[in-house]
Amino acid sequence: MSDETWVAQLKEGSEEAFQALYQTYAPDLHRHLFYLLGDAQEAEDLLHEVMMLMIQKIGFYTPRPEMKNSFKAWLYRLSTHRAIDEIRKRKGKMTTEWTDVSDSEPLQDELYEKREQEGLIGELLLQLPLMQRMVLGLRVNDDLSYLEISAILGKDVNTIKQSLFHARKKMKELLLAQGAMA
Amino acid sequence: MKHPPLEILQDYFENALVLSQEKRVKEHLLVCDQCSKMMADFAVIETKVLNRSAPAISAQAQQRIFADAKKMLAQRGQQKLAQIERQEKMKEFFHEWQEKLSFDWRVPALQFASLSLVLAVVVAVETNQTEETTYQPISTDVQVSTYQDVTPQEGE
Repeated sequence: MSDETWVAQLKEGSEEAFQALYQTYAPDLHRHLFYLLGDAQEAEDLLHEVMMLMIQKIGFYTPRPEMKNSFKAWLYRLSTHRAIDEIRKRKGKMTTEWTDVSDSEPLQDELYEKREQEGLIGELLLQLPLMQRMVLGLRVNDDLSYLEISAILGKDVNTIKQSLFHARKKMKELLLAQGAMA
Repeated sequence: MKHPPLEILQDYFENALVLSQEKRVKEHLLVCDQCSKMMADFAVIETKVLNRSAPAISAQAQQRIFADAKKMLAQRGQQKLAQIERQEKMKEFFHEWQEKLSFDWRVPALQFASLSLVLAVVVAVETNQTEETTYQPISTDVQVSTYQDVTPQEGE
């Protein structure tokens, strides 16, 4: 069934529709929030809030025919705005912890190196200005188009393109400084 | 050597160029080390960002989301039902009054109209009768009495 059908059913209060939309979008939204916040627990808490917001605000959603993933963009808009609020609230207290610390098992060398590398990338990403971080994440991780990103962030397409370019440039500088790129 | 604008290079990387532009950039990249390096760097960054795995949503968080969503949907369902009930009651109320009003007004209006008609007829008839009885005797009496008094008699 298409997104729009599930959305129509959710507007009528269907639990099945909620579950279907959750299964489709929650993992991506969680990754997006984790990417922006850098903390798995906070990302989960915010995902919970976003899912409740989805139920509350579903009546206000209207599909945009010019956009391929209209509902996805709407959901990302909700979660991005919520994440921005959260980041502003805790400004100055930003965590740089990206690795999952719950694992108590000793890691194999290769896995450990991968985790370390991921931790480094996560830290570097957090050093990007928020706008650049969001644009890079939405384009690279979530594979959204310029138009969709522009609808999510409320900026015009040219600003998105410029931010994306600056994000890549800054990321390259940071990786070079860390010796993680030739 | 002239280089394409940075925006064009980025669009090339994003596969967002039309074929003719794409061909020109491709040709340029074959001879320009600087731009080729930029494209390679973009690819490295993309791979590094993409390869970073995100933790899965915990089963506990998922359970909490489903439970709260269920509650919220049930609440919304109840609110919706209450709203529908209120709307139905209002509709019934208006319908009842509409019926009452349409019945109450039509009958007295008809009664009033017929009564007015009857009254109008009665008044008209009465007026005609009054006119006849009032003017006839006065005019004849006066004429008769006046002429009788004033007219000189023959032979006077």
